[in-house]
Amino acid sequence: MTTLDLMTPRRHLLDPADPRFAIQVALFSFVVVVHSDVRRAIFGMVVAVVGLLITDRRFQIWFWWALTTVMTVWFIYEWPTLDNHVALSVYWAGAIAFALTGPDWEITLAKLARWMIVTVFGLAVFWKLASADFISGGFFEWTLVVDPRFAPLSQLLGMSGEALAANRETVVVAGSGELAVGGAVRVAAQWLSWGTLALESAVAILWGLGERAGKWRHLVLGLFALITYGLVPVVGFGFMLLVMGLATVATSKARLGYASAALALFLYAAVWNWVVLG
Amino acid sequence: MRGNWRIAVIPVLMVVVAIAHGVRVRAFDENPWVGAGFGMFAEIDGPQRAIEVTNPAGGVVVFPANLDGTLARAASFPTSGELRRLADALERTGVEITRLRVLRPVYTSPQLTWEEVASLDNP
Repeated sequence: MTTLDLMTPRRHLLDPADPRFAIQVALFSFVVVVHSDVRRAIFGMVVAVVGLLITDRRFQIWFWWALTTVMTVWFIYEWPTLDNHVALSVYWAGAIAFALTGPDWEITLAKLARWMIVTVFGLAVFWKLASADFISGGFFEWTLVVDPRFAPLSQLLGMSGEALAANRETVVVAGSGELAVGGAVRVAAQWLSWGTLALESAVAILWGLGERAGKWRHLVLGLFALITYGLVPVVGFGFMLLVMGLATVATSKARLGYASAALALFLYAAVWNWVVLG
Repeated sequence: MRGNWRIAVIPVLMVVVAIAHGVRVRAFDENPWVGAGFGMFAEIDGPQRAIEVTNPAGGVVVFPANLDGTLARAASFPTSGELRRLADALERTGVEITRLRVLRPVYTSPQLTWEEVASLDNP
């Protein structure tokens, strides 16, 4: 007969059956989020390796508070140019530090992740509703005709590569005049605007409902990640959201699902950036 | 209820910082895409801001603002202090400046024009 030993801490790294799996995967987000230059990449890797090596709870608490402090200083210094996914990683480091400091850390972290997802999507919806550019469809039309990250989609919609290149050249030199807008771009811009608003609102509402929304909240977050990051893999933000989603589930299967989605996004973004942006 | 403050503190901090960012967008024309406001992919004004430098001969050079460093900082948060810092940095590289302007795109389909966000004369 086997008995479940609740007193002996598991010592396996990256074991989805262990609640610490959520924190261990979160460490990789610092590699993904801050990879934009060599110094930041080294910082991210040192954070990930040191964090994985620390298994003692007391040292883990010190580690996460120290990381939160360092990243908050960075946050304040770079605030005027700080990307939102970097800000989210600073908040997430703070959330882990807060959770580890108290009792039932995995429950606290799951609740923090839930309300942070609600806050992120609530703020994103607020900005979009407050933007006349977004509501009119003008934002997505502009994005489809000038943003190189959207070029594959724009070409699928009927824009030529030459027209997109000419539009981008006009923007780079701050030139004025008429931009080329072809194919189904205007119709697609309307669909993208209202679709994005509907999907982001659904994430905010269903995560606000919590357990009452059952599996739907995970499905809608997965759908958001699939559609949004399938079109344009903004890997830093997508990775952070999936890491936070991972902290809210309690089964090995669900944890593995979120971690696999984060890994798939990371690999897809690497290939996509290489193929599309060169 | 014990420990609930721990769950509220970070979401509340996120909202407070986002409000502060919103104030900076309105008061100082900060780039709405950055600064922990979570307002990315909502406004045309953002990553495509440009910096226009006029030299004593009347020549104009435009720098895209999506570059790193002082240029990106001045375009993103165009206060007089940040513009002066950028002017100093450019002058150290031998660029003579009579006027520095931060511009943002205004797109009314299909017309593109540029609007001045901030400027610095004879830095």
